[in-house]
Amino acid sequence: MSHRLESWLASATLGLALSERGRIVEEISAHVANAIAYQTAQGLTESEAEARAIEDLGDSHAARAAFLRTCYTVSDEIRLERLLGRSWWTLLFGFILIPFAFQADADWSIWHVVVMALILPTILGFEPTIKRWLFERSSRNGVIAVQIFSIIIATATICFTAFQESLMLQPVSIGALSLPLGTWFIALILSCRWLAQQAPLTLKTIRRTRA
Amino acid sequence: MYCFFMNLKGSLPTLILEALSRGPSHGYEIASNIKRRSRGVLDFKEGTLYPALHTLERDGMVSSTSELEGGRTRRYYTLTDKGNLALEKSKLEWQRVSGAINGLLGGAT
Repeated sequence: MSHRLESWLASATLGLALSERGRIVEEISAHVANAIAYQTAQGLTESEAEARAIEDLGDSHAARAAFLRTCYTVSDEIRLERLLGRSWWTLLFGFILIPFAFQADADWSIWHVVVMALILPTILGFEPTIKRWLFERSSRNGVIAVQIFSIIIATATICFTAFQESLMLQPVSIGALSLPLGTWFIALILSCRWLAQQAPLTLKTIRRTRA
Repeated sequence: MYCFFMNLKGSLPTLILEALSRGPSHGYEIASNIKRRSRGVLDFKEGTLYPALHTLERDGMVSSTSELEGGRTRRYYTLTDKGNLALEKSKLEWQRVSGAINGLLGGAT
């Protein structure tokens, strides 16, 4: 890759997430290679052809501004990694499964251990699929919306769990919580997916209206 | 005197969808197709094509696959059913608006 193209790409992808940057560099390099092949066939020298191809790409700052509207940035990537980090998911699944195990109480059997032993690896095995399903079409704004939503819901749940005894005026066993927690978790997952996909559309509409 | 011009930037996604309705294509081919078929009238900076393609992909209008060609990875874009539907809607809308403008400016009605 020539220095000219390299500097155009560096400027156009400044601050973008590595995964996004890799794809853009790959696509635009192939684009420029095609353009150079065409221009040299028209009689230009390789250097002239490259200069023309890069000129045709336009202002790298304008391209960067356009990429920033659709691509994840480095800070988004860090945020997303935190959000999708295995520990976060394991903690959530544990949050559901531990009460399930405790539900056994007096009627504890080997089947609960077997079910636990099967469910946890299955869920963790499907974890990448679940993440893809949740976030493949989300934008950076969608991810931020999901994070804010998750924090609010998690805080509300923690407050409810902490004060439930005083609220209900009687002690509640951890096993009794598995059903509401399970429902909450499924609702959270579905809401996250909905938010992740709706938020960018809403923001896009706002931007269009402003323009 | 007022200067009237069509907003190509806003029309670029529709032009991309139209180019892809002829079959899967890569970025350079899409740009060349639009410029060639408009006889250079619809000229745009090619660097803006890729953000538009990525947005269309994120919105589910197009899908992409990468293929290795001559030692270089090339990404081919394909129009999805949703993209096809959006293209048809855009075409109808364009015909409605251009008909109205033609009527106002004294062109064919």
